[in-house]
Amino acid sequence: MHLSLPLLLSVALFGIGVYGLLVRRNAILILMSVELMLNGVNISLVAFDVYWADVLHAGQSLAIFVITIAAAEIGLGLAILLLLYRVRSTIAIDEVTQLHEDAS
Amino acid sequence: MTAALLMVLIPVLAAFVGLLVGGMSRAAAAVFSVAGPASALGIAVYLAVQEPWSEPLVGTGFGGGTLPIGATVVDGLAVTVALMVCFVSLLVQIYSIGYMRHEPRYSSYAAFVSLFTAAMLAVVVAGDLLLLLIGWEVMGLCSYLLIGQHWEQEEARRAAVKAFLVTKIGDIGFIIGIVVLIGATATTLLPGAVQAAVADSTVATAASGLILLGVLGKSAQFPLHAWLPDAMAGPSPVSALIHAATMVAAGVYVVARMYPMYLAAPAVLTTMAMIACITMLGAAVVAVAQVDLKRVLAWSTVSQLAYMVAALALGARDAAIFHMLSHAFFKALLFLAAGAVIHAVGSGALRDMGGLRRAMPVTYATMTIGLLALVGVFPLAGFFSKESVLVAAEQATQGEAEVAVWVGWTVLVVSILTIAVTAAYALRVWLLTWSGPRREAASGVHEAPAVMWVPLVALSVPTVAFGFSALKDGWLPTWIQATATEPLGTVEALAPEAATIGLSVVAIMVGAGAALAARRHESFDRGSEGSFVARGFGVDAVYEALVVRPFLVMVGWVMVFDRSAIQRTVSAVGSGTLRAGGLLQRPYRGDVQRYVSTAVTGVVVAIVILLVAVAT
Repeated sequence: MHLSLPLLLSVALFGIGVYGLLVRRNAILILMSVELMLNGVNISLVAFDVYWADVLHAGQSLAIFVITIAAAEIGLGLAILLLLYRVRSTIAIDEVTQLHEDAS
Repeated sequence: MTAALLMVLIPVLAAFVGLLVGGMSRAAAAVFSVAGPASALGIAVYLAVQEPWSEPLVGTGFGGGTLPIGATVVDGLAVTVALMVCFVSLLVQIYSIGYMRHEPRYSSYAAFVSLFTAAMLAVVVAGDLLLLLIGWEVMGLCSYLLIGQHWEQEEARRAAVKAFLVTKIGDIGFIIGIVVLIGATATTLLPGAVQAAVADSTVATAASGLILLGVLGKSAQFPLHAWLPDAMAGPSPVSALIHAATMVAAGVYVVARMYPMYLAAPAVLTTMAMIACITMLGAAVVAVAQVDLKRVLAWSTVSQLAYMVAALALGARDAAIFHMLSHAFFKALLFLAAGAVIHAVGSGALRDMGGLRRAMPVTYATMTIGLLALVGVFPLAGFFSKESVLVAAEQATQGEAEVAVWVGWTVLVVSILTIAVTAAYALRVWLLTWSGPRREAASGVHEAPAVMWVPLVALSVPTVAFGFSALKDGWLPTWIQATATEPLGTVEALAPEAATIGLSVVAIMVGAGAALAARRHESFDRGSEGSFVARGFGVDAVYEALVVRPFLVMVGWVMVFDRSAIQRTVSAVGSGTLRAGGLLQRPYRGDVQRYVSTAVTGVVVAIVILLVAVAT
């Protein structure tokens, strides 16, 4: 199989993820978009691993590493969202702007 | 380490040790205050028995090479003046033990006097210009500190600052003159620099003229004389040592030290003569109108210093030094005696004194001797020294000096007139202090303690006898005519001449007669307080108008500039930074998606640039 096909799939997944990240207001959808981006990267990692026929399989190892991190990240993210919803009764990301400081 | 440097350093050491132990024990401070000048006097005597006039000792100083520091010159002139300085300083320190008995800051006072003695000795034995400058400036500092001894009083603070600033104006010229001298002659050694400057009349005129400015400031000559009368706010022993015997004479001494250079600059000599004439007569006239005993003596000092400057201007260095030495003795005596009187009466005003003759016999006798010497009555020291100045003026009228004949005539006439005025104010002071009825303020007066009158007696010995030392050419003239810059030639005795004696006797009688005639006048004992003459011909007012006020106006400008320009710039930098920070903060409104889209846009732009760069 030609390398460009998995890479195209990877770019498509990453692009959909970025689009979702930028335009979605729902925080859960944003988390899902982040998952899409991570998986896009995973596909390219695995594809390159095969392409280079790496004896150490660094690409596959890294992909498993990313999956682990993604699981942790989604757990953390959902916990934050749960708390956010309890406090503010909303998970619309553009209504959560408390991190900024008023210009003096 | 040469003996001359030791002579300078031991009083410094005594000053610091005295300051350290003085806080614990007053007696220890007194011991060290006397030990400093006493050991310096011992070294001076040791130097004197080396016969320094036959072979001047030129020390090399530390460091070597092109910039030695602390080179000394020990010749007859230096040793003679050093002996006088140590002698007067020792007596003043002894006197101060009694005079400053109730002074809470005695230990610092005694330390400053010792430090002053060291500085003066440094000037006297200085063989290089830097040591001279250091001594010169430390003297000015000590003078400032000692005038301000009673700094609780507004008057003392003002006088101290005034003395410091006025002498400092002259010292600016002094420093520039020394820089010119070092720059032009490429040596800091004093004899070498002076000899090199003699060869070039431009350098000689520039350096001697600039150094003369410092001399005018330190020796209180017109127009930089205004600080000395106010300096009387200091304690009387300080006035005796610093403002009569030594520091004010240092200017005269420095000119004498660099004398060949001055002789090579006739224009400077003529200027000196004119300044001396103005100062001599003007200060004497002002002295007549004074209310305060010490201020009379202060103006008298200004006038007598002008005699020395005049003698220097007429090419008679020996007469100047002779008068400087004898003046040091009789004027220190007068100030110490005045201090004893003021101490007893509790007031410096002449109208509070009178009829003290029986109550204070020793002070009476010694002060009378001092006043007679000041007037110039035979056979006291003042007679011989003043006559030697007159002889120099008389010789200048014969065209025997470097300056023009008319300068000689001017100095001669003014000197004779000044003698008359001197006799008048001296007699006025004497009459008001000692004769007539006892005033109310002086009811419980008694003689000063022995620690105070013994120095008076000790000073009256040279006041009486010192004059004779100049008559024989082997005595004083040999000493003061030998310098490192001019090897000893034919020694000339400083004997008076009949013509000038006659003139001065007539002048003294006229002046004394005028004082006696004016005795019944009501302003005789009150003085003319606040009048134009008593205020020194309004010189202070002129300074006020020409220097102080314009200076304050300029200070105002500087303050306006500081507030409106500098301070505003600084606050503009501060607020501007804050405002710029606010502008940068504006995009950060807590909208996380905007941050991410900015970051993604940045990454995309970076990739596009990278691709374009790779493609081309």
